[in-house]
Amino acid sequence: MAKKLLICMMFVLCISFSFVICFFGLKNKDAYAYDTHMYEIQSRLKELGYYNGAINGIYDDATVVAIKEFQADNGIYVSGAVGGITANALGIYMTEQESNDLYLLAKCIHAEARGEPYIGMVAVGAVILNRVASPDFPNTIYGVIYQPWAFTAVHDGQIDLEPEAASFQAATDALNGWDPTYGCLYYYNPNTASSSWIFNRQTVVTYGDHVFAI
Amino acid sequence: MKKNNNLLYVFITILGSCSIIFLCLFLSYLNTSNNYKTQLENNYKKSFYEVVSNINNMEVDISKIVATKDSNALRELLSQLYSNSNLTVNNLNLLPINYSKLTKINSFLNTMSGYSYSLMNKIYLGNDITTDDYKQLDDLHTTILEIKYDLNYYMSNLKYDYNILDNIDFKEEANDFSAGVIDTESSNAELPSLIYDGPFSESVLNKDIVGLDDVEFSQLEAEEKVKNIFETQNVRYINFTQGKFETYNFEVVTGSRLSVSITKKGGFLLSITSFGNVGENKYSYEDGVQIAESFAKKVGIDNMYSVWTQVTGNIQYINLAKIVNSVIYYSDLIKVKIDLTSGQVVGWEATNYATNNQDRTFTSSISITQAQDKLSEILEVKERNYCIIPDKYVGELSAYEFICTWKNYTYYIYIDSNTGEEANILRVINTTNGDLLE
Repeated sequence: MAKKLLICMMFVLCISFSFVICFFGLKNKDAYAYDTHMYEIQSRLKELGYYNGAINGIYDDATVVAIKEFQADNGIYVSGAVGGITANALGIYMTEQESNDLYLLAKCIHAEARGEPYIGMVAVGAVILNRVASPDFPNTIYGVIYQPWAFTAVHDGQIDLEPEAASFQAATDALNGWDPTYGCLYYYNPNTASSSWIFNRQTVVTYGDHVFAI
Repeated sequence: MKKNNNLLYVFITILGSCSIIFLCLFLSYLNTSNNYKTQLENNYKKSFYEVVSNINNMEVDISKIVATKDSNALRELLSQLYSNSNLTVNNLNLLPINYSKLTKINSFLNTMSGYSYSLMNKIYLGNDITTDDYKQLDDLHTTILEIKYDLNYYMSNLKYDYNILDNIDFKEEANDFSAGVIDTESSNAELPSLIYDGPFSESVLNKDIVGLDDVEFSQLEAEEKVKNIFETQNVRYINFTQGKFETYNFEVVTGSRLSVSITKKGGFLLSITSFGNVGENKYSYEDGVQIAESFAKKVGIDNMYSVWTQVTGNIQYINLAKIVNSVIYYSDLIKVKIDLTSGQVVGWEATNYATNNQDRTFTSSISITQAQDKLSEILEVKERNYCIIPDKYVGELSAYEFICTWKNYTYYIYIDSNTGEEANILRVINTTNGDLLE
């Protein structure tokens, strides 16, 4: 009897523990930041003999270790991040302004179109920019991206995933004027779209799983 | 038996402790959750109050514009109307209303903002508001008045313990709150269409394509063209685009996997899209410019020269513009993307060229020296050029370009070569993504 009770209690404890884990969440720490400065930082660290990895613009663990070693050797507060003092010590010129629009656009492309062919990723970025230019939508990139229910991946929080290099390049292409949809304002996945009105839009082209429409 | 009982007490104690901890955590979570809910509710309400307040202001602004003759007062009122229209769009799109339900009212508000901007410009140029403008303002006032009444009626609901969040199901795209506000939109089915030259006007949004030859290409002819340009047989037809441009789309494998589009009308290379490689750069900035200019020649477009370039990691973006008789045709821009690891063209965007390229002449009523006199005295002029630039009012215009500096900043200033007015001013902004012109 006591044994059964013990098993039951163990079961309840396991369930409760799982519940706590699910409820309060365990954050994924695997995401790597991508930064256009990183190419220069990695190159400079390599020249100075602190870094042996690939020069790929990805702020990964090896880059963090190299930055920390450089900071320790140069009497800079060891953080693993490159601020103004570290950049100066590395001999890197810091830019006057962050490309916030590019970063947000890359995040949205990554959330909405990762796994799609590259042209499909650029096309998603172009639709966002076409909406910014259209009178039917808000007039800023963040206004369009955060419009309620406009993008599934924004609505469910996937927008906060860290974008990869391809998403950044696709966002840069779109901001530089590439528009493989030639003015489309909508796209949808015909296998998952739940809004019937979207199927009534005039189809222009299909890239991967996404149908682009005006 | 006693040992078992002891074990039982230990587990009951652990279970009890765990339950208390879970309860505390849960209560803490509920408290935090309620705080978030309150803040979100407050933000939604603030946005809604601001929408109503902005609409009320717009109604008053238009009624004053109609009743004012003084040009300074008119400019101030139009500026307020422009600002209130933009603020309304911003706040309206923060509310939990499905984006697809807002396109009509967004369009109305954005067009109103564009219209007020164009009227401001008209008055600035010394022109009067015409009878047609007054008729359009009257129509706008009637519409905005209806929206104002509907929104104010709906807002009266919010005063009596109405919670926006209680009327939203985030899993559903439609909800009670949006239904109430959207009624406001649907009750104004006849939103006036405005005739004017300026941002969001029909003439700007639906510009004709004049840069393509009339001859129609078949899919096979287009494929042959792609094979010739890239000197490869590794070309696969993908699909057809049926939009503003009708294009045959191909995949070409030449080191990189390129998506290539050829227009049906004219068989013109409209775009190349591809992801550039990651690795060590083997080509210089100057090499990239030469590769881009040579590629344009190979495609059959002469006189294209680099006017702007930007390097991001392994990728170089180059803007090529047509330069003939020392006149730069910025309207005919082609953007090229070079992979500096392989020296290959991995991107080509020629919709501006296809849309605008045709024979036109640079015209001027003032000299370049007279135009330079109109620049701010603190600027140091480094370079002067003749050019044709795109313009949101008249499509394109002839202008003098002055590349100037002040402190460490570089400016591109365009003076209309016929009117002497400043048509545009751009500043080079150094960002994490390279130098941008804004």
